[in-house]
Amino acid sequence: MKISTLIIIILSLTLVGTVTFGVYYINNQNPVEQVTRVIPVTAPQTTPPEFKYAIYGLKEISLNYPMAVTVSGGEIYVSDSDNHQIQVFDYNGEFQRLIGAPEKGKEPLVRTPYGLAVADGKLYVADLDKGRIAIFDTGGEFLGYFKPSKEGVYRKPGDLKIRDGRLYLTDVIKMKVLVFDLSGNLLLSFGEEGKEPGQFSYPNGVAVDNDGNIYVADSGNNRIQVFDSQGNYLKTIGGEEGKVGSLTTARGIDIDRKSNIYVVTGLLGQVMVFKPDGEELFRVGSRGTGNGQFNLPNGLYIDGNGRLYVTEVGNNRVSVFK
Amino acid sequence: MDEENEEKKLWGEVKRMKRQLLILSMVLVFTLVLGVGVAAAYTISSNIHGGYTADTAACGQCHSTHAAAGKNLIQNLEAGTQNDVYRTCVYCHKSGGQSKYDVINGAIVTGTGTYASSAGGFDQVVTTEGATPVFAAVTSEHDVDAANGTTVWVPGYDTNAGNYMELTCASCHDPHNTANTARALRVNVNGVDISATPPTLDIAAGTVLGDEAVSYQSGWNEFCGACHQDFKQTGAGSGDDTALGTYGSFARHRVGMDPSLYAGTNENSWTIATLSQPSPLMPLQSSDGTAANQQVMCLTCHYAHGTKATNTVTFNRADGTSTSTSSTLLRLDNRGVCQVCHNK
Repeated sequence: MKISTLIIIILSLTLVGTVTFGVYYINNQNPVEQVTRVIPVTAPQTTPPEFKYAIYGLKEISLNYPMAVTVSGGEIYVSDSDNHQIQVFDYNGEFQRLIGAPEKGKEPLVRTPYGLAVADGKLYVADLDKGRIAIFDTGGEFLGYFKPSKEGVYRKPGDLKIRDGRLYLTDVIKMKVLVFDLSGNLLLSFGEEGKEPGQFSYPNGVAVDNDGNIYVADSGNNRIQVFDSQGNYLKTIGGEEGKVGSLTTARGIDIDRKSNIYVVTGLLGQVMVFKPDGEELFRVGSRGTGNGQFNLPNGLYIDGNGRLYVTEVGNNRVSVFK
Repeated sequence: MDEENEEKKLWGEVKRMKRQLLILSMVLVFTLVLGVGVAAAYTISSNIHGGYTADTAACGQCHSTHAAAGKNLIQNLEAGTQNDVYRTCVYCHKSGGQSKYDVINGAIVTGTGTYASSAGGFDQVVTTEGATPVFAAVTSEHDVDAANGTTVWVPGYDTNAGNYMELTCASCHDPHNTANTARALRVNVNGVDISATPPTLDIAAGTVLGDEAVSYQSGWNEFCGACHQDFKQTGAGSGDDTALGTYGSFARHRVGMDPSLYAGTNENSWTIATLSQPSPLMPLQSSDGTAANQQVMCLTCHYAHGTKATNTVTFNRADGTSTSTSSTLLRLDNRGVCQVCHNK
């Protein structure tokens, strides 16, 4: 064999290898997403998103009852609720670190982490069973607990969102929505147990739109209730008075940049999506264990790129759609 | 003139009394309505799982007619090592779910306090109630969360089945409307029809879905005995008679008798009154709430869901071949349940 032929063969193999690796890399390390996570340029979501990948965590510390998810700085934070910690992944779902991991023989810093939000480099974690909100820096250092003003004390803090310096929180058992500034001063509180407009039955998810309107997944009443920024009741989506039927066990909720409303219907195993006027737009997923399917979904988050994240306490994973 | 004045005065007095009577009646009616209203908020008859005929959409929350993933058309799926029934139930009956009954933590949680469940819990039990509750991990519990198709050891059960059976929440509870709506307990357990002796209890008014105070009435030995069949020994002398039992030949502690009729027993250790957990007292069942009909039942010594009691005593299991140090859902540490009654 001539040396030139050998060189051609080696170069050909190298070329094939490079192309194969490149295709694999682009599929898994999408450069567009790498860029747009910093500079969001994609159009608002108008069609059902497609399944991208699922996060299970590392084999030895796989997610156990993940209740909520949030994204900040290109990192994905997941409430690993029954493992009493937060797991952090990069934008491609690769494990990065644990936050609040329990130390042997010590009481966990967060017993049952639920709602998560990042603001000013701090991670706020609602601890459902301890009735408090733990604060960490995003690297994982524990900074202390959120100190609500006396009248804003909560018992079962559920979902948590932070927007424009305001912390929005559901109290699942007091059946209220609370709004604080980040110093802990109570700005707004509304709701009580019941079925009437303005009343709640075990509210879970909370979301805020661009106008400051507050959306509450009123889980036990199988509906979404919408309030203005002052807590005045505006309308109901789903439930008895809605056009779309009951939103069975509505849990996680969020709003995209087009003000469409995404809500988890837990026992139905779907995400239902509505236009701002309450008309159903499309549904995402079905019950199952396959890619893009849901088993007892709970938490939901939409990031700046229009990516949809859904946690499943049945399949113990976070599914990512775009 | 004086008579006229006297008559006017009398009429005035009558009118005043009528007005007072009217006001008093209104107050009484208002109080009654308010009282009924408050009492009607949560009673033992309240059942969130009821009302299916009024709202058939409720069926679809747990079942799927043509696309079910599990048995009984349960629409959700087994998750990892836990069966689909368990996962479906705890989606609501867990902290953050849609019920005040948090069975995992053995708690009833309200807007103001957390209270111990009369059944105990599957992961934890409440040891201190109130706004800042304290919990303790369970040491034994009914294994209702095993994977689909997995069978668990059932003491006192059919040896032909190897003492094993599948166990889920639905083995004991019927989520659909039942006579015992506050507990939704089955009247057909493990294929045994106990509808003639259904398990009955009462919860003190005003405590339902709060700091529940429970009294047990009847049917509890039949209920537990549907699975733990050989342990349901109600005849006198069962503690001495080794021929009793369908599947084993062990002497068994009797149930269904009045403990006060036995010499040396301590009547201060039990109660037929409503009992709020945690409590050192042992509940007896009484069909009419009187001491004349009080009986030892399985729940006198055991919790239904799980216990925090510790146990270091090694004992022979009912299979006659193995030993165990399980706390066997007992109410007190180290067979303390024996001592409180027998006071040796």
